[in-house]
Amino acid sequence: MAVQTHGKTRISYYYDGDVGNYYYGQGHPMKPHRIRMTHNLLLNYGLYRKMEVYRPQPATFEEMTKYHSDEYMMFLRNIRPDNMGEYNKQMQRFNVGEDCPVFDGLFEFCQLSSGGSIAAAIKLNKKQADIAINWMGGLHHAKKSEASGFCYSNDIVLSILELLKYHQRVLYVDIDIHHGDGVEEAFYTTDRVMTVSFHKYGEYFPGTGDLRDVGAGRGKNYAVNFPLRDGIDDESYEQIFIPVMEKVMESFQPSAIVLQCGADSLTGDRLGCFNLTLKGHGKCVKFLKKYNLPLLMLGGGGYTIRNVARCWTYETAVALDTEIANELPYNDYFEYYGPDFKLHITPSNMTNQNTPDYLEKIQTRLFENLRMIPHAPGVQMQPIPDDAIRNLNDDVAEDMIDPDKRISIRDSDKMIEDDGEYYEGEEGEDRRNEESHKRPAPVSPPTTDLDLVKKPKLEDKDGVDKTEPPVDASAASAADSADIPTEPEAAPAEKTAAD
Amino acid sequence: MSDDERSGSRGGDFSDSWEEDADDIAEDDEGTLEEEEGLDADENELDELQQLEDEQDLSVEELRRRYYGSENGPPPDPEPSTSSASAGQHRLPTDDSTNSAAASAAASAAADNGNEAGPSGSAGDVPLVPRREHGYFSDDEEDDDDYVPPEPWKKQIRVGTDYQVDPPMFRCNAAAPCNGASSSPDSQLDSLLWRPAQQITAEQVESYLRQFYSGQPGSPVSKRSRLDVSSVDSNASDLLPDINGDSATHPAPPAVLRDDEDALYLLLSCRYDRSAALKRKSAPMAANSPVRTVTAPARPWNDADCGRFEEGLRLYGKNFCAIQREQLQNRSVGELVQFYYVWKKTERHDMFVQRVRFEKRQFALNPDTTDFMDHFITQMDATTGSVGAAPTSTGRATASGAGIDTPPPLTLMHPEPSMSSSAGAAAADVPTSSSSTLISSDPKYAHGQWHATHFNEWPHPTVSAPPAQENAAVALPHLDGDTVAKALQ
Repeated sequence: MAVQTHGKTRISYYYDGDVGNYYYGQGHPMKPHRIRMTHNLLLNYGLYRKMEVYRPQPATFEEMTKYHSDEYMMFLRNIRPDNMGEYNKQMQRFNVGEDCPVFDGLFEFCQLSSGGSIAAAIKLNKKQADIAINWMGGLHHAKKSEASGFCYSNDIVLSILELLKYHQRVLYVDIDIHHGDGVEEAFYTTDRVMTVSFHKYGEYFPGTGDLRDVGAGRGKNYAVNFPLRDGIDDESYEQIFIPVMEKVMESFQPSAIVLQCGADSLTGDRLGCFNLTLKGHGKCVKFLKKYNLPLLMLGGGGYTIRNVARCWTYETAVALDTEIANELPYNDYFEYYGPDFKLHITPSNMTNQNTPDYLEKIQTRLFENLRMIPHAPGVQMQPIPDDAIRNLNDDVAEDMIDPDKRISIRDSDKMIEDDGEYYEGEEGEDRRNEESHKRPAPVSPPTTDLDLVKKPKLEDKDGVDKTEPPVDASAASAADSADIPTEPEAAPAEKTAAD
Repeated sequence: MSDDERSGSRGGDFSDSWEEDADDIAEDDEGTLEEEEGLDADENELDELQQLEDEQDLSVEELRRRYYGSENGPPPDPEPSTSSASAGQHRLPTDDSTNSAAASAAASAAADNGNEAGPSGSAGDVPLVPRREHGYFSDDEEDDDDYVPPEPWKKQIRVGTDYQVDPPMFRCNAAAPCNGASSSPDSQLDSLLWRPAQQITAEQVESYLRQFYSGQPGSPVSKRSRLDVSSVDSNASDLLPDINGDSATHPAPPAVLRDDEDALYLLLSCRYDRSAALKRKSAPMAANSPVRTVTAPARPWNDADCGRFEEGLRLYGKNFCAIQREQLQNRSVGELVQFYYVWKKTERHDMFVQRVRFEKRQFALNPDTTDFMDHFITQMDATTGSVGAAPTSTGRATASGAGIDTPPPLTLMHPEPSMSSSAGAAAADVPTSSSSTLISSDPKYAHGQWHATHFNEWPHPTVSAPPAQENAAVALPHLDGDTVAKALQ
């Protein structure tokens, strides 16, 4: 009956007993209690004993400011429900107050969530675990200096930063129904992190995640966004997730994966509008697990809390390669799972507004973008080192040095990209970038000159980057280049108009 | 704003020949043309004429590209920014990309619009780069025409040092770092609570767990309340019958051997020596219990606390900070939250909800009500003479209220009536049909009594529940207050 896990995937699971006791406020859909419910189900399913279980230390201020600004973190540390009045201005500035209310223990909650993800990432870095799980994490909307969408500190960014110390390329996958904007933004201009998000797009929070948002500068084409419509079901989701991820894995060749398992993409979510069941959701975990790369699984959204607990319990079992019964075991919160008291949920009869045609079209576009990525040679490079590591059981792992291949690839990547100083390099090629560079324009007026100076460089870069120009882009590129000179000028001008 | 009119009308023309749906554009413009023209026609007239002239020379392709692209551009009201963009662009081909001229043209046009411009205003929620800047210069926009049209809800990823990370240096090439190499030692990052190990098989762990549970109340299989059993005293010896009772009405959940954090932590700290661990099992343990959100010595919840909690909930809603401040200063907010989630599934919660609902209904009463039942209840309530301090009267209210309109809300609350019985209640034995009578008759009365007397007469839940109470539990299914109290010890 019990499934032996020795010698199989080693899972490290992070949980802090305090986390369920934080409360966002009356009527607020985000309920940290769901993590406690998950934990309790894990215990009662007997999954707990199959994992290494850790209680993480809360992240320190210093750890959190590796991404977040000092000011913002200081604010989070200081603000309390009883002194909110003194912080009106800052609350507005940091977007704390409405969606992201001030609640008792707010900063502690952030520390726990981030501490878990950071510790999990370090565990993976040390090769002491194959999969690390932190359901307290996954708060993907938080920005560098801003709270957003119930997220205050971005544990995902912090953990990826940790992984980047030992992994040249880290893949971030987001199956929350909301776009993973915080993570995408943090790594928008780097080619070392590819962010892939499947999300509802159109009149929906956070409003980012357009198909055409592909990254900027060196990070161009390293942000992948799959916009979806209401009602996507397991079958459709699988149909797009697997080919897209296969393509992503092939072209990006990461050495570690971070998976945000937001459960608001499940059917019947209080804020969501998809129609996935645990099986469809869990299939994403199953699929990514197959690559046998260090995998960090994080929580995220999920506002019908009984389904969140179901989902993350199931996905823990998936990570453990353990079958669990559909009958829920008794647990502290058994009553929450009525009236059926089953693990699995059934999809609703809502219409799937994602037509095969639509999905196909988006997918084709994404493939075109992915083809633009400088190809990492050596298809074999990904499996070989990791298989080797996988076979080593414990401490031996540290003696493992990866084959040199990887370095050389990276070096070559660098050679290709290094000349592009900052992100201005590619504006001619993509309007995303031209636009993004407009942003700082008013702040630093000399941008215009810089652009002029850089222009010759751009064209060179285009030549290098466009190793495989997309089919349809070739026609447009002529017109593109004609437009190039106008954009930098128009941008600041418009900007001032806006101000 | 003659600009608007110009671009708008043209946009409409072009859109017609192009697959763009021109409806909204046309709609938007028509009404405002004259007014806007009247407003500042003289300012822009020259400009406009000149642009029109310029445009004569352009090829259809170019015009098309310009206007078509810009149609997609601005989110809320396309016209102003469109015109500014197009105005800026007009000179470009003729000037042969003389940047300065183009820029100034764009600037002036934009400035004209700037004052009243919708798009810049709407995009003005500062940090967000508006999508509108997309369309102007783009050519492959046409590929996306069936895709999402730009709209105000759209936001942009921002680029700049204020937003992006500084990716750390890549230290070594994917080799496992040395164990001690991390900036901080293990002990500071996390504390290990359990690890499956080579020296102990899964079967051994299971048998250890069974032994561990054997001296304890509660079933070795997954149980209703883990918290109950983890308390040291054998206060929950009635749990077993309870579970049996439940399985009578429900298909028994599979007998999965549950895990106990404390038991496994104990085993780990005894280096997997099972007998050593079992010897120490009476030592109180809290492997992963709340420490930050709960005041240091966790105190059991008694009836008084529970009553105050409910009162607070009634007064302040789920504002646990306020409840803590006003009602239960000796407890932390975290404790209240924890208690809330346990209390919520008990029958006390259900009764509380009913009581509050009833009160609300009373308050909502107004002359033109057609709900005579409410009047009736109120009158009845008044005649019973149960007036007094808040808790007492509310208790009465519940009693009478429950007597009359209980069944509907109850069934609402409990699609699965037998589940409504809380963790410790043995009433699950009672068949579904009779359980409703139980709740609406006996317990209702008892409930009223509870509120009238709960400070004095109700058996105080002691650390180890007396057997007498167990009997009571059979008769009165709402002993949950006590169960809750026990659960949270």
